[in-house]
Amino acid sequence: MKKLIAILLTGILVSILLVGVYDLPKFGRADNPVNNEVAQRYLKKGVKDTGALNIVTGIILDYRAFDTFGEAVVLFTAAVAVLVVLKREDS
Amino acid sequence: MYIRSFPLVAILILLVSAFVMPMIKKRSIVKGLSLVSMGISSILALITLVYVKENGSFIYRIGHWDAPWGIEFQIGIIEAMMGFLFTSVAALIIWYSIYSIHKEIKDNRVVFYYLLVNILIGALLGIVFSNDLFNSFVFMELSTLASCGIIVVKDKKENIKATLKYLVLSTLGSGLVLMGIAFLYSITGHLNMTFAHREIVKVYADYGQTVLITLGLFTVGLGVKSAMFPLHTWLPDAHSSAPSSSSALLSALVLKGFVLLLVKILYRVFGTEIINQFPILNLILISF
Amino acid sequence: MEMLFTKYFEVGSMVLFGVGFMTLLLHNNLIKKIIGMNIMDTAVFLFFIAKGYIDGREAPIVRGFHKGVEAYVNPVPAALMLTGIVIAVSVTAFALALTVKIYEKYGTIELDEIMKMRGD
Repeated sequence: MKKLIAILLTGILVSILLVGVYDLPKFGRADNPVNNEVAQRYLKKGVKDTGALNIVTGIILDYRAFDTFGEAVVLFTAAVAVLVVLKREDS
Repeated sequence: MYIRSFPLVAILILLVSAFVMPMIKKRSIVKGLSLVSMGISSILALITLVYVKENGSFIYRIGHWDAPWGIEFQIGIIEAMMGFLFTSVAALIIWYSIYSIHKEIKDNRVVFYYLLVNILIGALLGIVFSNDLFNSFVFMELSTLASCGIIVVKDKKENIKATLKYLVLSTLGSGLVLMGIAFLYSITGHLNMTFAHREIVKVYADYGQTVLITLGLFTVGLGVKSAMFPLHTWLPDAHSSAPSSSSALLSALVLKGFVLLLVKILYRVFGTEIINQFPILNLILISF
Repeated sequence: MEMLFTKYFEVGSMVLFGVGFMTLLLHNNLIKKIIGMNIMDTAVFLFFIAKGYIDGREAPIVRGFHKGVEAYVNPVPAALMLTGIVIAVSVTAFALALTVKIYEKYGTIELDEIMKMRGD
């Protein structure tokens, strides 16, 4: 019974998501809405703006550096949380 | 105008003071540092609120990149108000917990408790102020990890079970939210909320199904995190087994941060003319 | 049906999401649940990364000289998913630590047996 509900739920979820995918723009085209002026500017001026030859590095460490700061805090928090969970009583 | 950088400074004070805490040996200094940093950031939030009330909402760029390329904060009246509410309530809860925390938590975990509380409030302020979808997602995960941490800090059997339940369900929720961000990004090409709204108004006639599914993904994902009615199953265990001051933080602040994010996504990204076409508000508010 | 051939990355990632969700629902073992969680996250990452691909272009790394905007794929999804992967790793580490602690306290990691042990 539980298995049947799980399979049904997953089927509904996947089919809803596939309907969403069906409407999306075609895969791998250069004129998709994703490739708009934001990505163009990163590619065009990224090397001059940030000095990084790898443009992905330029984005994560300069244009969107606050995201990377948040990511570092997430790692720190996870380390502290693991320490809280696994700390022995006697120490 | 340097008052405009106060929201970022409030977040940075909380997070940087959290980084310093593990190096301090004396527990009383850690308690004092947590209370003082929370007090300072609540004063900064109050100044921001007064400033916003006088001069209207403003946009603050983080780094020096303009809006669609970099990350920005948008602070209007509701963000300033929620920021002041979060920091001041958290300061009062920390003041209470200084005198009562040793009854519930073992001594060697007290430092980590205050560290996690500081990170939690900083992450909530990040959710409240940020005008960027992916940046909100990062702070959402940060606040989930920190709130799991302040539940499990009591180290009882039920706590660990409740925390695992909360963690698994909220990971499911954040997976759905990230999927929603991916759908939204693929039809608009922007992550900034203002620009995504500008773009989605133009194209939503072409992608009717996708817009509806994206709305559903955001609502269910943030609904799991903020314990809306049919998705609340993790809440009773987690809140009842947590230490009393954590429970106050969780039920007063954490859930409201996610509700505010949902409000921002519904009204700032999609806008009233799109959400009026779908029955999404009736579902959330149970008003048929 | 022709979607299967034109959008195979998206369809594949949605099916992978379903696999992860089913693993999360069906299994009682906590480690398997965590594996399901990870499969689900990976599916979302694959979906997001697939948004950046453009036919016939190369990775956004400048070697020697800049070949112009038309030569490189979209770098934004890759940059975002680097952050996303670190977050997923952190959550997995925390969940595994909780599982270790649950095994210490309850002596089992089967969820239905844990749920039976009410009280105490």
